[in-house]
Amino acid sequence: MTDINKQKFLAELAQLLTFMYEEDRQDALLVYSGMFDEAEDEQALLQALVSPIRQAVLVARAYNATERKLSAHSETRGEVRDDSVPPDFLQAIFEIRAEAMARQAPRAEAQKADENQFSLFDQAAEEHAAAAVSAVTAPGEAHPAEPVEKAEAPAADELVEESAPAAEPDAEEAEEPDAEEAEEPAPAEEAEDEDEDAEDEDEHRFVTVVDGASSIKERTVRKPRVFLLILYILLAIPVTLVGIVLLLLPTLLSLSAAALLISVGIMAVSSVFGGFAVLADLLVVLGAALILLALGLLFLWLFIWFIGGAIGGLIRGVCALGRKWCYKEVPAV
Amino acid sequence: MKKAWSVILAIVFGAILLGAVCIGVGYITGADISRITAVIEGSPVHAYVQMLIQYWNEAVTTATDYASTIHLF
Repeated sequence: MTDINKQKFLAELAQLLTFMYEEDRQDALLVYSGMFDEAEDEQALLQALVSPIRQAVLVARAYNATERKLSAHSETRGEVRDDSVPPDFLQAIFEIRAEAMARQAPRAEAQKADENQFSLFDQAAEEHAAAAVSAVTAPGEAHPAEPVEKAEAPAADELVEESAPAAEPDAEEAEEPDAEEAEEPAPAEEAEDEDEDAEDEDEHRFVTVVDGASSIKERTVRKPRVFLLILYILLAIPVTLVGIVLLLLPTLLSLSAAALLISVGIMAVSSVFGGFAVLADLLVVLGAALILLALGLLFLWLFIWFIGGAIGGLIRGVCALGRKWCYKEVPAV
Repeated sequence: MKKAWSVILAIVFGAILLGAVCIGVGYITGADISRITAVIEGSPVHAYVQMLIQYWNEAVTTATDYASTIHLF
């Protein structure tokens, strides 16, 4: 039974830590697994750790994704990784381990952790949790796990949202025996309550961290400014049409020049093999034909550029300007 | 688009250079313009070229007239 709780804890923690790079995630899970192996009383350790969500929040607070990305890039370039100083998130996990081990020692009554805190898993998710635990023990990749885990992120979000209210009463129940047994003064207990409130806020804020963003994103909606949009359309259409007509003149001229030059060049090449007896004359006509064909190719490309680049760019630019001027971003309700 | 421009310009300049080399070598080895024009004028290519040049001149004239008409409005 204790193994199942440990497996469930590690499996859920593995799902919640998908925002980390795969190597870092594996390191963190190894430390937590070692914590369970070292602990004499596993239930007491689970009680000290409270819940996987809380541990994920603590690790997320200590994890610096930008710094880890820079170190990952330097490793791919062949630079030696400095293992003498563990990363911040590992140091935080070591502190959690030390605190958990210290809490286990004075505890006389061992209360079994409520297995219902892992009731997030339904039958289908339990199988997935077992697969995730086996993936934890497999060698990790050097690439970040974020794009691979995007499909799991919505499920993880749902799990986080469902477990946040369920974890709160469990966290409170776990905190009560600590408050009863500890011989701390009243101000320290008030400080603990403030910490709990801050951690609860962190858990709610963590919901957006699990989405894969390192900062809280506000949802915005683009709304049109109707009067301005109508006015812009009324002005932009004739201006764009005039621009297109002006651009069509050089477009058609370049097309006709290309057609003329290419046809004359082809005729010159065909005449080279039919009418000239002297090699010198043949070389002169061939050279002239090559020059004509080259200029024809240039004008042909100029025609294509006018159609796709100039006229197309004019239309795209007018549309982009309209979107910029006639729409505003409003926070989503 | 930038890469396409560089490829096209490279091909164009290469062909122009090759054509210039051919013309230079031809003149060095004794090419005669009067002989060349005589052969060209005697071939049906000349008529086609004259016709195309005429079409080109008409297209340019039409385009400039249209542009001046728009400018008037």
